Amino acid sequence: MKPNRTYYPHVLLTSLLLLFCLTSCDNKQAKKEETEPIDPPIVLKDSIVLSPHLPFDVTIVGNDMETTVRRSFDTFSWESFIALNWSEDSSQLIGVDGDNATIWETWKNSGDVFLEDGVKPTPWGAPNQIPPSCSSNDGKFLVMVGKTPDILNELELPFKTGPLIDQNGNYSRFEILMNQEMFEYIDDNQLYSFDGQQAFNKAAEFPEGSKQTKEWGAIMVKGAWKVMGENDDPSKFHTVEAIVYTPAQENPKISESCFKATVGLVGLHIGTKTKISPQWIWSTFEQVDNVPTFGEAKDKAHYNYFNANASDRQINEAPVRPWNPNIPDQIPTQVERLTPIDSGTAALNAEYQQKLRSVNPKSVWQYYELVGTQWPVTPTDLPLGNPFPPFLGNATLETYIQGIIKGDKVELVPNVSTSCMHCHNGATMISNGKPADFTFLLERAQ
Amino acid sequence: MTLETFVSLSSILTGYAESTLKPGADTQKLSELYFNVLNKEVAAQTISQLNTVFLGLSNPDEATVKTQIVKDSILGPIAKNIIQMWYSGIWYNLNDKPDESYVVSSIAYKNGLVWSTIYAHPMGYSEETFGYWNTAPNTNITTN
Repeated sequence: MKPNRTYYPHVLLTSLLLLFCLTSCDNKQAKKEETEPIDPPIVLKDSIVLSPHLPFDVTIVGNDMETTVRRSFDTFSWESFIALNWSEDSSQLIGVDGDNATIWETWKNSGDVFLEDGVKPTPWGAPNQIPPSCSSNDGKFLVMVGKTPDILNELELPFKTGPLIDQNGNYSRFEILMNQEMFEYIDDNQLYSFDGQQAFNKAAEFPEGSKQTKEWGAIMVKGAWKVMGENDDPSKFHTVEAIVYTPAQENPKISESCFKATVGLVGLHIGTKTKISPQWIWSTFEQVDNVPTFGEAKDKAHYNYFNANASDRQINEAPVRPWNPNIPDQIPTQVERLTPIDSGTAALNAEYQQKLRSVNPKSVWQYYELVGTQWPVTPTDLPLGNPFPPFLGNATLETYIQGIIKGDKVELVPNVSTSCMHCHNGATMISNGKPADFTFLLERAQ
Repeated sequence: MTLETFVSLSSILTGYAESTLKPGADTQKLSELYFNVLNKEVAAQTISQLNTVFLGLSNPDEATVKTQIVKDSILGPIAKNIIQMWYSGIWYNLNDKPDESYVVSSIAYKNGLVWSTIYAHPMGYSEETFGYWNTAPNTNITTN
């Protein structure tokens, strides 16, 4: 349902900015509609802009990697987050009614791209395909349990991954979506099927976003959700009504289940391929109450994935097997963040959160924070381009591979502890082993 | 000895440019890591002597460093250890006690200069894509 429109004085500024923006801004809507009139960004007070316009590429300011350059990439991340979480009606300020439906949730779900027997996917914009056993066909379709597909029957995990159980004993749910540019590359080259990949027979090379051509590149988004329940404050989450589906499995024995629930967004990865960063820009966000940081104060009354009164639970340990999301009241996962959020990133978070509050003090978007952005510092040094920061992890999406706790210290090991680019660099196509351009999605082709 | 001096000396000892050992965008911070190891493992007086000799060279290049430092009975073993640390990521015990030699860190292990020098990667760690062995190695390596 579209929220009621509320007018704010700030919106009046947009007309004054129109001339400026027509000449200097990357002002296209996040949704690909080339014929639509160009909207200006909405400037509220200072340098931070809340805009529905998805950036084509990063604008790097300064040359100090740990301060100005990091801020440039973090700003790119926030601009992407804001644009992707804007509603389809770009005239509505993000969060003006507290919460809003988002653009990225209209993108193509990976489950609708890589179909059984390599069947051609439905066109861009077609509705989600809902399992017949689910009686309702509205809401979101969350089929995965764990970050990687088929996690419940996968016995040879590349990392020590597993399900993530919230404080109410419920499994968190995950989904991966892609933008139109990424989908069309897969569709046009028939990379959705095993046979199509074999015929393609070369390394994948997804389109790059470019400020010069004003074109977006491939973008993939990974969302982590929790079922809203006891002690969860829905006013602090972006929530949707979802269909939560668990497919039947034999080993371990799991019955098919499907239920509708209000779920809250707890984590969001945004991977963006651009001309400046052909190894992609890796942005990751979390809900602010997810977890405490290892070695720091645990002073919140409630965390989504940590209980201060459960010190007997091992930190960042996956639940014991067998993993079955249908069992109620399971032991919650005890999670802490092992790589602290950089102080500069935290400062930028505070600025954006304040800006989002200025739209509406009850905006749910103020309760999200950028955990970090990883980018290739020297992208011409193939294949990885010298990723920085070397380690970056989301507590809801890389829970068990953040690092190793040894006493009161955290040990981070290259190619073992989480690093977006190091990990995704290993992605290949399922049919021929050719490099998949930093996405594991192509391994799902049948 | 300052970090900058350590990097200058390391550059001559290893044959790699200072900008390679301590790049402007330094994601690994190896020079700081190795400088700290040097200060931890070698007596301050010896490091001070190394610093004085190196800064006293009117024309610090490979030949003079070899003559004045590498061949010196006290400073030579230190210089050789610095070379080995950069190339292998290992600090070798100066008193011939192999059990007390150690890999400086996992970052040091994977970044040993030996790997780029021989167009290879350390055992158990590679940043190459799957199937890279089927193509010619990248020989575009800058040392100076």
